[in-house]
Amino acid sequence: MTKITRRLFIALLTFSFVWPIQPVIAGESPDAFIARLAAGAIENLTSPDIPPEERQERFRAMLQDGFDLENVSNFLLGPFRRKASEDEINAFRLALEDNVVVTYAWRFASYDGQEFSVEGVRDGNRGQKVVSSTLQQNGDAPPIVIDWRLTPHGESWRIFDIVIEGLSMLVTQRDEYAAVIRRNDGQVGALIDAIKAQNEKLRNS
Amino acid sequence: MNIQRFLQFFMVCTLALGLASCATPQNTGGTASATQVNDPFEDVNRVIFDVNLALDKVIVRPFAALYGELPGGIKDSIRNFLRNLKTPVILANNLLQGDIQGASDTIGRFLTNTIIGLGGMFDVANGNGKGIAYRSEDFGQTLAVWGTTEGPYLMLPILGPSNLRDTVGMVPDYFMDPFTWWDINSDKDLPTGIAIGRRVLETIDTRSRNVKQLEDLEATSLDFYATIRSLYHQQRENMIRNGDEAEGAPIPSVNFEIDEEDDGKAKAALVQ
Repeated sequence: MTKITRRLFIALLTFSFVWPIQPVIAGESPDAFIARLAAGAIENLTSPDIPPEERQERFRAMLQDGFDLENVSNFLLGPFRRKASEDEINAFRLALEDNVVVTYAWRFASYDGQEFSVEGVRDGNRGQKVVSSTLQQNGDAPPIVIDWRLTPHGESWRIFDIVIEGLSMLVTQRDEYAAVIRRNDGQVGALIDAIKAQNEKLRNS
Repeated sequence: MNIQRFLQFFMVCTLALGLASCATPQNTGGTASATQVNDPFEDVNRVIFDVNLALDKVIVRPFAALYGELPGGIKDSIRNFLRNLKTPVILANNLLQGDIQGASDTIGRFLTNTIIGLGGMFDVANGNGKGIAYRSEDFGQTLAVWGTTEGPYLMLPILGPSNLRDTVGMVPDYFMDPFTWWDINSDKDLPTGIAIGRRVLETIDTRSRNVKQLEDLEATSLDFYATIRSLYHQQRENMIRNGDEAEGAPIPSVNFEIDEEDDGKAKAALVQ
């Protein structure tokens, strides 16, 4: 009996060295990450006198730093990724990044001091964390509830999805892209062309 | 108004819905098939969607823009009043879903807003967003709580995006509304006029609150029809769960290994 116990103890001890009980604990907490990103965005992107190109480049830097673009673009392509070539996957990633920049960067110019507050953190799927937050609206309108789904990244986190009032931007985008691919005989190339054309349109508007 | 015809229609629809539920797979979020939407009538739906958009542009949006010029307080009072009128339908659905807490919230809101809120014009119950918030319930949601799947996506003329479940749900909602019975039992035109006016006002109010967002969405969408379809599905799922993520299915169903699993299945199929 003692032997077994001792053996078990040694086994456990060994295991505890080889197998860390918890995954690597990230240095920055998920809520601190979101608060830092929001503060950075308000500081760098919202001033109305930044030239549009400058705002876009600043936003792009934040995007590359704070967003999990690799997993996002894999998720968006979903099952169609298998049929795409390596070149197409890379082209898609670049077109997607441009698209997010031209679609959202200018919106920060209309920010008008609405209060943003981080409310809490809960566990998501597969090691993800969900940070819940609210953005006050002007007037009597109720605050907008925004959930940030984060994937661990080194000592910190990256944004995987933004869920606004229960509507996932990622899922919406995936469903839309899937529809475009499907209507073009399953060609990922057609989707890339469509995104690029739209980027040009939005850039010039 | 011919009730018998309505009931017949309802029964046919329920039957159709039952068959559809059997034929459609359960929620498959998280797997590769999550991108496959249940939209067998897509070609027809897209045509109706285009007609709806055209009607919206010509009729609804100009009125919504005009309505949007009203002071915010008046618009809010109109919306509060219209929401208060929906109490019987919401309460019935709360109870049909076995949601006692929801039912008591609905009654509490109705009494507070009707008495203190001057006949429902002021949402006193949800003062400053810290009280009991308005939560809409309908028979489509009740059917979902009872386990019915959504069935094929439908783009209804004028009424907009729906699915078979929610379309069928409109019929019981119609009959659970006391205004319907007033209309049926009255020879006068007044109740019909009120019923129509109420729907029109609801449409204009909702539309005026979304003018900018929908314009934005249309401008940035590659496929506006698919975007609306996705958003409708997500919004309904969210309403069915009453916005509670912890209680229901995770949103979105995240699956990094989507390809690997897919490949695995494909290989397994080859081996067999």
